[in-house]
Amino acid sequence: MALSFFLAGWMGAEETAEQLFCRYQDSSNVTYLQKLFAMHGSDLYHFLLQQSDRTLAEDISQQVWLTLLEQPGSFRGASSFKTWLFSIGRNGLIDELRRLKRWQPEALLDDMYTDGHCPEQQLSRAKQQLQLGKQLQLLPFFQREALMLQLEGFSIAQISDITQQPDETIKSRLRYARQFLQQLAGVSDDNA
Amino acid sequence: MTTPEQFERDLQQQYQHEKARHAAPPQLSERIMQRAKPPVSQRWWPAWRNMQLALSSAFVLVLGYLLLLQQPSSPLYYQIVVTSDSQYREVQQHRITVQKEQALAMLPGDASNAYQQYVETAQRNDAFHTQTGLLRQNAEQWQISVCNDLLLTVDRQLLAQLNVVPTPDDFQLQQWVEFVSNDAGQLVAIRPTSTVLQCPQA
Repeated sequence: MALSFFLAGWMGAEETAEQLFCRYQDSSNVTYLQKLFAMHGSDLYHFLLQQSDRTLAEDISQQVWLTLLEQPGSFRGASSFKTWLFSIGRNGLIDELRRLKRWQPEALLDDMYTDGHCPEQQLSRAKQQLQLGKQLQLLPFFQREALMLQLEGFSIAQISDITQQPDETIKSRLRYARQFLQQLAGVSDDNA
Repeated sequence: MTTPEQFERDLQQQYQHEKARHAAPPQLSERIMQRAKPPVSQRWWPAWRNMQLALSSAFVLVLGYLLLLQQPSSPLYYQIVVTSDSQYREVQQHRITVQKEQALAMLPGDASNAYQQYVETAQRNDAFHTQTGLLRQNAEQWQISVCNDLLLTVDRQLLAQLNVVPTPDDFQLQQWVEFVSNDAGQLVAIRPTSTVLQCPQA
């Protein structure tokens, strides 16, 4: 690892988030923090935005980055920097939703089924009108979370690490999320 | 009808598209960077820390050097090992050792003192014994032989401690010398001589 770190610096290769964090920690040079933010800031913000709203996504993003500034030792390198970042963001978001009494992980999908229309009608309308962002909103919190983390590039193990849930639970959530979205997209059952 | 593969491609594509549409607002980054900038009073801290590191390193180096200089060296002792072989009645190996138990006296002060004492009292003190022998030099030691009676070897380290007049480098590889021993058998001095020892025929 030390060798690859050295070679990367020597050959001018693109720095990893972990390298940038180490350099920021050593030098307190804001340039490294800016690079880190450019690398993962929008990823985290988008993840939080899909799980809440613009105000909360901004607040929680800011809290996560400030945690990094104020407690740099909280990232110990046990996971990738991005995994750590999303883990802190996810926990912060759930805490905030609970504090605001908005924590209803299963409510969104239930709302869809209880607004006076039958599920088939809802699905049909969603198929015709909704883009992915809105389709995702039809998923329960944990399914949406698992799917977004996977689309973000995290492995099952990393998602498990971020959400503190067993691999099998994550796989199950991903399967249900996909099934639902495939229904909306009209994916052939024969191939599914 | 969409296939699962097509669905996955679309999903990934739409996700990236959605993410691009919802990038983090610039003011968020600005707020974080503003908080990250240390107050003016703290900006000298990295330089001060580096200076402290450099000063500490220099201090440790100087301290280590001084301790090294003051470290007491192990005392050296004059050792004589006496044996015999088929050619010489007695073989004496004179050398320096750090093992006190097997040694006779401490160097280097003793050798100088003994020589001084010899110079002052040589004429009237029989505590010193002068002999003539043939010196042969090699890389590690000098050998002085006194007929078939005595072969005396002196290692180079001990030579450096003795009063050898002139200096050991000025001696020829083979020449006659006079050597002085004290009552303990230790060499006190070695000097060239023109006297040639006549050995009885074996």
